[in-house]
Amino acid sequence: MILSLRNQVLLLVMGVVLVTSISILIAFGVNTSRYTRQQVDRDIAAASEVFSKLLVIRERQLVSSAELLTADFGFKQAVATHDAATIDSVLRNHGARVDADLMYLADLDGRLVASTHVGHDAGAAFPPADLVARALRDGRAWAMIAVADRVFQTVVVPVRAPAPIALAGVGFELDRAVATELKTLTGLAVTFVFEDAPAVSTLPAEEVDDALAAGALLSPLVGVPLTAPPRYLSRRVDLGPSGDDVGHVVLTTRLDDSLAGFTRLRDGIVAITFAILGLAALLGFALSINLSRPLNQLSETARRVARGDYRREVSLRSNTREVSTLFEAFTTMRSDISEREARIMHQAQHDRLTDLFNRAALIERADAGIVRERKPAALICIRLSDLRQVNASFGPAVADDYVRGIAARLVESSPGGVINARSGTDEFIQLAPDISAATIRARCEALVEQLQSPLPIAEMRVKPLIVVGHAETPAHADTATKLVQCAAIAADNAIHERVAVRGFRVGDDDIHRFRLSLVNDLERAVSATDGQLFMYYQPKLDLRDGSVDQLEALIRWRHPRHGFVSPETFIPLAEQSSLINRLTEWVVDSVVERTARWHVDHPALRIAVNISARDLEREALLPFIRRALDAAELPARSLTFEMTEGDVMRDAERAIRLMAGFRDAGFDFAVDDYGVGHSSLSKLERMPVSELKIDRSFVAHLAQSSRSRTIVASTIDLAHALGLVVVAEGIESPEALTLLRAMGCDYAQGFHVSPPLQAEHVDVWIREFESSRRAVNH
Amino acid sequence: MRIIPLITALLCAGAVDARQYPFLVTGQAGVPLVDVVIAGGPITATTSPVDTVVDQVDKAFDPFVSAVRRGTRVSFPNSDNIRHHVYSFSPAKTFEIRLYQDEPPGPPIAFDSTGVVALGCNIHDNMLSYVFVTDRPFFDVTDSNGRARFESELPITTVDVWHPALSADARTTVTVELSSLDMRDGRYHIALDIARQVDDPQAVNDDRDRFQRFSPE
Repeated sequence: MILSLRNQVLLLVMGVVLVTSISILIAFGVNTSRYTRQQVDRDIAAASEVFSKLLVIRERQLVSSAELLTADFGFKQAVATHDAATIDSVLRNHGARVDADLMYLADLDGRLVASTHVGHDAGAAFPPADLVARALRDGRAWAMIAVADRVFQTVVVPVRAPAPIALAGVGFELDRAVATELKTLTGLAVTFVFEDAPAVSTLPAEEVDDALAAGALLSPLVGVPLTAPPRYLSRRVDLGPSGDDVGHVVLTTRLDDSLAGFTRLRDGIVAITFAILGLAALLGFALSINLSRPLNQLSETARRVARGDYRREVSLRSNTREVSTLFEAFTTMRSDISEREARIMHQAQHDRLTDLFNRAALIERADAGIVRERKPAALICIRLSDLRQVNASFGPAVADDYVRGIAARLVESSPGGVINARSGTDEFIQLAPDISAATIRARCEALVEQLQSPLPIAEMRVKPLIVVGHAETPAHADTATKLVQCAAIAADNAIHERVAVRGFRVGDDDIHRFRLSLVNDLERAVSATDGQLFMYYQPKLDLRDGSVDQLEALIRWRHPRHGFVSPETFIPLAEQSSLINRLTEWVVDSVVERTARWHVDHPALRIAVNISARDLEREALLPFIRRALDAAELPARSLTFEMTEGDVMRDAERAIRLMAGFRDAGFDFAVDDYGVGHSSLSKLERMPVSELKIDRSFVAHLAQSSRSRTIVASTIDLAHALGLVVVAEGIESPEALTLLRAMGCDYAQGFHVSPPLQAEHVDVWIREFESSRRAVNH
Repeated sequence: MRIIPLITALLCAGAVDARQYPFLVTGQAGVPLVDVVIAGGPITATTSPVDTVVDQVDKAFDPFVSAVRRGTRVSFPNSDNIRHHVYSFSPAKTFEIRLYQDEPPGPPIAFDSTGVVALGCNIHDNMLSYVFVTDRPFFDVTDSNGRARFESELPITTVDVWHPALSADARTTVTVELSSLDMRDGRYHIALDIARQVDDPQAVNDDRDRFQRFSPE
């Protein structure tokens, strides 16, 4: 249950007041009832004592009266002589004299002789035998006796003449006068009960029954509020000297009087309690307002903060220390949140590594500031072509420093108004306003120049490899997003075309789209088994003995709509999209499957597979190849691998490490397209390669160009000096073959030897080649 | 005058064997009872009554209990220096001697009916004396040891026994067959159903006492 602060305070305060008051009431009630009970006990005890004393006094009076009577000589004489008339008159006379209510005479056998009571018949058995016996034994006796419906305290004494001759009795009635006297003496109401019926009472008739029914003890609960306290408290006192008397007296105290003070006090406490409750409610209300107003203020401010409104300073003040502390904490929290939000906003718009804008932030600004207002502007897309290699070779820390270094140069070199952003792992974009199509190229070339100067990182000097694409608005795009895309396409084309700077040209985006669709199609082709992709195999002629025991596997793609697509077109696309990994695996699987079949008849046959520099980055490739070979039960030497010189030299160290892994696994490596990649021979020397393939561009003009002949011859000599096997590609004429053989080239490959063959035709080709070779030899 | 029955007894003893009748009277719990009158012998006996005296000394009758043969005359001298008013309302003898000193004004009172006569003084309520009037020739009153005796030349089969406490009005006499009695210490043992020794009320002979009876218990 959730209670408001105000209600909690009210509940607490009122609860405390209630508990206190009830405790006081209970304590007061218990003590009062105990005190009252003691008081009443004392009163009643005193009253019964008084009553007993009163009875004794009356007994003495009776005895005196009786003895006065019986000592009278005339009376004795009258009794002794049975002078009834005299006896009767003496009784009446004496009774009047002592103010007795009853005078009587009985013989020694307890039979009534005479009585002043009307209707008290002579000869009746009276007084009771017990009383007679006691009177004769003790000389006097008293009792309470009922005569007709009246009760008397009576004394009986023997009449001695001088021996006992009769018994004389004197009685006082227990009437209202006695009760009143007793009441006057004790202050208690007196009721005489005879034969279980109230005979005389000082109480009003209507109260008698209640009074008699009242208990003798006061309940401790007498103090509980809203309960009516008992009106009476009654105690029974036996009347006579023995238990079997005719009645008893009930002494009743009226608690109305005793408890009136208490009740007044109790009601007073209840009234005060309610007054304090009201006061407490008011005070609690005030206190809670004092607390809840600032708290409400606080929650209103908190709601504003939740809406993101940090600015409005609300003076939160309270004279309650805790609340004040809370306000301070809240204010601190608000500024903290504000700071954190600013930070988050910054992070949302900025690249974490370089603290430049990110792509989205730049697009947003470009849209707002330039494109929408149709101001002329250029967007330059800067690619770090070698970031992947840097990361692979030196680790991510160096790569990060590299990116940061480039970012710093970018910012440094940017004139005012230029916005830089990092739009991808290896890509920056720069929005340069107020720049014309004429000057943009010069600016890009200057930028490349600036960025490509060696960058000192961790005691190294890295020479960045930068490619730049640029696009202009409003010429190429009417939105910033599209402008960025165009620049990116230009950069892609720059990479394709192996140029440093490339401007976007109208139609580039179509080519770009075509390439994208090709990549998608290729991905489907690799997954499918519909024969779009297939392998051709081109034999290598061993010039030394004229045999053919090596084939180069060449991938072919027959696109369902575009027909044959050149590997030179789709391999770079695959490399850019990382589809190359799956493509290489597909090639390996295909080649291994085919080779296993050929090995039945030609166990010495070796197939060369081309792999790309991107394949080298994948550690999983070598285990994949081993598994494929093991599954086909082929030896490692049945496959060799070729990699272009350009790929090898782009990250020579890593290529060397990886090729060493292949060599250790039993594979031979060949450097493909040698001669166009600016590789140094010193590096070549350290490479764990066993074969060098001279690029077809040198071989093509071998017959016509002496310069080509010199290059090829010296390359062959050099390779041989390094212990490498030399393969010449692109043999298209018998002259070239003759020249190469003369130069000592080890293998020849080209249309003149054999065009690439369908896998199904390889067997036939080898058979025919072998038979023609035998024919030549013979 | 008392000597006469004795002489008579001696004379008779000479002629006939006079027989001793000793008695012991006890109450409840075997307590010896004083002032018990025992009378025996045929009422036809011719022994003459002998005058006797009930003195009044120190506001008390003396003796407390007297036994006399019917016809005995009793005189009531007053030995105190205060006046007494002797009376009896007993049916056996009702008389009254009004206030007097020294010797009563009239002749001795003749007790000529049998029965118990209770004597009192109208002035001094404590004064009480019993005169047991009998036709029997032989009688005695027990002493403080409960003993009494008489002798008779005539055989005695029954005795009358009286004591004030035998009844509330002190008039009851019981007649006992001697043959039914036990002998104890050579005495006829008469056991009476009397709870306690009835003290002579005259023993408490101080008028002041009467006003102090209600002293706090």
